[in-house]
Amino acid sequence: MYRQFFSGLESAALPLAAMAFFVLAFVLVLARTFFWKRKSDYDPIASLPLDEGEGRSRNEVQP
Amino acid sequence: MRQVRIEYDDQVVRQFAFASILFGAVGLLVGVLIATQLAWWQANVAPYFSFSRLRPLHTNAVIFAFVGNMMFAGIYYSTQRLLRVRMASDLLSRIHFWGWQAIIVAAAVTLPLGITTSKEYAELEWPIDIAIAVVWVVFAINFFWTLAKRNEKHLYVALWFYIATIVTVAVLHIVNSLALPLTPWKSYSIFSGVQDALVQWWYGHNAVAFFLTTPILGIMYYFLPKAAERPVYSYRLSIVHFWSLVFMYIWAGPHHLLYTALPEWAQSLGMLFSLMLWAPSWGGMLNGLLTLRGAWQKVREEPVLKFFVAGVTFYGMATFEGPLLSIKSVSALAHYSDWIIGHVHTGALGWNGLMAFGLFYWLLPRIYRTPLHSKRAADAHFWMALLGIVAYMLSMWVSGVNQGLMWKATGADGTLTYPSFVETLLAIRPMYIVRVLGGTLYLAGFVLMIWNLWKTVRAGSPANAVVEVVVDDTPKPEDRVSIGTVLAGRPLWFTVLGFLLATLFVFVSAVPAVLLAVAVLVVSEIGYLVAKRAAAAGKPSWFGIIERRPLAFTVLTLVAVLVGGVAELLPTILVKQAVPHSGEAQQPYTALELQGRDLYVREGCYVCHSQMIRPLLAEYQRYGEASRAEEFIYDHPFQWGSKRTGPDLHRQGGRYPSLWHYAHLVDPRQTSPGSNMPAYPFLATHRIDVALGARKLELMRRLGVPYADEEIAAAATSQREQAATVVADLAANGVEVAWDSEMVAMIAYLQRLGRDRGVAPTRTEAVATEGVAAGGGR
Repeated sequence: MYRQFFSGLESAALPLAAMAFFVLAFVLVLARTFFWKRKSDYDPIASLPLDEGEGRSRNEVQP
Repeated sequence: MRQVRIEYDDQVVRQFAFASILFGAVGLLVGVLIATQLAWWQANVAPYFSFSRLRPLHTNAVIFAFVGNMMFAGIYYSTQRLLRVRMASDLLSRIHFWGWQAIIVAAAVTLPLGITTSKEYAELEWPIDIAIAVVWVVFAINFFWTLAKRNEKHLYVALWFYIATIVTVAVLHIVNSLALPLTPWKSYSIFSGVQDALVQWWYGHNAVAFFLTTPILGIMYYFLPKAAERPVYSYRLSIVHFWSLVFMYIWAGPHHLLYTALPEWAQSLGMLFSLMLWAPSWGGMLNGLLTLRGAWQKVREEPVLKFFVAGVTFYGMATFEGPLLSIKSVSALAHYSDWIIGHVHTGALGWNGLMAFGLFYWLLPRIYRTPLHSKRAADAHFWMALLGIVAYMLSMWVSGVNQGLMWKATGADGTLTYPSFVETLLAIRPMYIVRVLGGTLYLAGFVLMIWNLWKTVRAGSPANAVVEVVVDDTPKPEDRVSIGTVLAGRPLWFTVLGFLLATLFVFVSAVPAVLLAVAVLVVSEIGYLVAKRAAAAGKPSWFGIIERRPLAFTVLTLVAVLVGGVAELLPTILVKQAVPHSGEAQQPYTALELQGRDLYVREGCYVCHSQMIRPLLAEYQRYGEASRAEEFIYDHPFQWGSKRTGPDLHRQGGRYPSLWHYAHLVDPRQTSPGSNMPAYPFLATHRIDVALGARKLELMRRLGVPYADEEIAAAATSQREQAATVVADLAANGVEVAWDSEMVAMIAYLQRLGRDRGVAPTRTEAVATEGVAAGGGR
């Protein structure tokens, strides 16, 4: 089954078509990453490495 | 609410850091030694300290001892602080540390002794493999137990990379190490030929990914913000970086096997995913570098940041070069050449090494509670390391491109311009000397670091850090959701749906492909709108739920990793290889040939010689007919190699008389003036264990090689009979050698290569004779 499945692949077209698809998807994901944030979800976690020695658990400052 | 006093276990951090520095020095020293051996063959000391036995020691020492111990130091330090809890078990931490060091010592002893599986970066034999699995499980239990006991519910992104490392390395190691033992120090891979090659490079590539990359990325995400004193540039980008990287990396292994006998579809998938990997890799690199936005002046002042910034930049360079080399037309030039060696060292010396140095300079002053002894010495180390890497990289680029071009060069009449392999070797020798200088400079910087850190440690005192934390145990809405809610999360299903549509995309023609692309966009848009509405309603996001659940997170990571592995490995393993295009399959090796093959493995011949002729015109002219999958069905393990410091050997059988092989093995310069191959004169005096021949056939039969009972019973006799022909051939030319000497077995194996039925002769006697006269072999 797998041999038939993969034998139909056109090796030159596959990388080009999938690359175009991938770039499009990647740009969309990046756009979403940078332009639509839920700051409350990420900012407290992003600062976790900087909290060492302050003696507080992040759980305490959860909204 | 409760207040908790935590004393972190920094003892294990110190132990791993010291072990990394110690073994790093050893690994680099061996690296300089083997680089010297390539430039000056006289530096080989047979049999234990020849290039072919020391090269695996170098790679294992750098990967598993230097980077491995550094990684564990970083993981133990950051995990405890990110989770606000001491490691769950001091005992398991100690077992992990001492167990890992015992494995390294075992590797350092066995590899020079020639005890090897010949699978690159997985050379250690089965008892050590079992020990690795056990110690890794100990580490995993300790890590996940600590996760369960944590006082901080959020799992910072560094911990994700550690989780991915732990689960994936376990899968890779176990699958690639599957073997049947022959003796306490010898085993045969259960896979053979194409399957073995694919499994090995699925492992080999992902050892780079999940041992040398993901844990170091975790270290980057923790220690770079700490050193820069600001949070990571985009936490959200780190999430995209993580999931895309762990999903895509696992597919890219076949780019090590382009133009080989591996099925075309697997090669194309490997190339495709390698190209795609460039995007998430650079996303991670930019996320690291942009963390320093507004603080670039600190890089000028702080050696730690210098190392981190340069290390991350080298990560970017290596992850650009990797996809470039995965393009088939580039691979046709670069594969088997020194360009690949340069690429590997961009990652190892640049990314891993510089990140390790930055970590040590940051970490040791803190866990010894004293300032770094000398910032100026650290700065000097930085520049020495940087110049060393540049010299190494440039020399290998020049050497690799030259090799590739000279191997392919043809004259006006269509014949090879450089038919003698040694010509290409002599042309690149100056670059080999530059490499020695670059590596020595890098090692000298390392020694300077040891002095600097030693003075720092002497001035300080070891003590475990103690902190008081207030823990809020009040359950959050995110904690009350069931596992069903996690699995029903929309992002998960949109991802699965998107992946299925993308998979379908490659099997349809133009019009349906456009419709599918539109469908993907519609699905993405719906997902976006639904998520936006949920956010507006104040519901916890799926990310908010999943990042607090280590079990669900681990399972999803494992699934993301396994998809690629299963999709590539399963079809290849299920397809029966023994369906040759030519109508003839490989014939099983005789007992004597098997004995010779094991010697070929023991001496590490695969380190410099491939046994895989690619379907390229220049390779056909130089070596003969392209290798085919069915010619390797009884090769447990495969011996395709990955580098040609010497010529390919797949069609070596019958090309030269036995006397040529004898002379070549005793002193390669006799037959190939200018060769840098180590000499193996001891093969003529060492004896094989004849009785082991039958056991080898028996074990091979259990692996599927069709030996009859009579063949196994007559193994001792058949070895003597086959050896007699080689001995007589040598005696006719005045060379006396015992029939059961290792030399005879090795010659029997070499004379067998590529001579299975169904392989058409591709070289005339005239050409072969000319090759001998010109010193065509190495």
